[in-house]
Amino acid sequence: MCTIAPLALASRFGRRPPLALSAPGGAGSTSEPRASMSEDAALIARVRSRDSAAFAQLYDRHAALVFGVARRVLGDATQAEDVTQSVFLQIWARPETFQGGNFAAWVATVARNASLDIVRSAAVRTREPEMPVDLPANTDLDDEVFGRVRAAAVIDALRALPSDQREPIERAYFEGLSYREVAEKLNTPLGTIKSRIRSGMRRLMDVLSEVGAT
Amino acid sequence: MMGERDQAMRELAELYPLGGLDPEERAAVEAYLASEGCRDAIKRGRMIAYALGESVAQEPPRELRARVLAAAQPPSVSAQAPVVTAPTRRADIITPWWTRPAWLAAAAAVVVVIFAATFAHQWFWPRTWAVACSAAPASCPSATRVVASSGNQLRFEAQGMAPLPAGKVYQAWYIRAGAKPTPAPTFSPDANGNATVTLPVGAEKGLTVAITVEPQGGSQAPTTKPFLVASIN
Repeated sequence: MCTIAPLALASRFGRRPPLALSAPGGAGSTSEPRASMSEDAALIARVRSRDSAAFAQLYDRHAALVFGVARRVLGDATQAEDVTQSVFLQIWARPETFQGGNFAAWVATVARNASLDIVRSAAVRTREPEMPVDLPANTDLDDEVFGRVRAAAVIDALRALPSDQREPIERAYFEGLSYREVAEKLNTPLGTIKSRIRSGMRRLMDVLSEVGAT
Repeated sequence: MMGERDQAMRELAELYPLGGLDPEERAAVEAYLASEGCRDAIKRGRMIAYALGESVAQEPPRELRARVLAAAQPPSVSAQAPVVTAPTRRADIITPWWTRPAWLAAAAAVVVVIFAATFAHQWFWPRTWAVACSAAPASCPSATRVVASSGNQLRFEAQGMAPLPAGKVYQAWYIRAGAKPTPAPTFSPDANGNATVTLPVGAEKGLTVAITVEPQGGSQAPTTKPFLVASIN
């Protein structure tokens, strides 16, 4: 029996029934749901059989997510294009590296990691190149936990966070900093940073829940 | 009633998905979660991580789509057009040699021998050199060679080259005996691992052709050890 499910979230975000393929039109939502798990699964299966039309559809569904993450991490549109191209071509070349779960979440992680690799390699030029690179293994993302995350709702949710919670979350995620490094950069005790991040994540989950994104 | 250790681990588990824990904290959380068989906390955290990504989603330039899709060719196309191919003469395409009259074949052979013996040998029968790979076998291309593509150019050709991480490219170099490496163009394999790059140097005796991995845009001097090397002799 699990004893560590987040207290405030466990009851509110208990197991949910499988998601419908279409998302409800929540107030303020401006974009269609990016990821439909069964459709992505079908597309990746076709990509494995070298179906370039399926690959094009996969690109159309997720390129904005990949490019956006890369651009946010790198702060450079040209490098973000390189990352986007590299990520998708590796998916084309090695589709078996995705082994199930939520494709959008997985590919966002791939894009973030690839982008952070560039940032870090620029800082440490003497590091041996990682070649050939393996895409990160899928990490058992659960279709039922990930839901109809709508971009507009997420942006609203992030904006709703107090800056002292949002900033350490964004720095940890987009800059790849450890919490210790975040604490140093913000000149704030580590314990305080951790506490703020936890509070921010709980609040973010609350907001996402209220807009039906979970 | 939740114990202190459970409470501490619960708090660490909430922080785990953003990746900022110290290595020892991360190991402790992973071990604890594995032992407890509980992953809900991490799954919820990952949802937030995913949501962060969605919050910055942005349409890439339209030209990028064309580039990506052009590079991802179905095997039916690429397999029929491998990058390393033997020279093909027009006559072979039109009519196989064994269907032609014997006298014509004999005459052609004489012409070829005479021509090859004089000055055009390398145009029709390009000289090639083997390429040695010092990387792990799994990282080595399946086929490589250097070809004297003209009197003042060499061409490196490869099949089965590994894709590189974003921000990295392959770069060719030529090295004259006793001299520093001269940078040649950078290149990336296509989605099927095929690659070619032309070096602006002829087949000079004692020349070395090398391939390294460099940052995007290339380098003026190698920053990594060459893993593919060919000696022109």
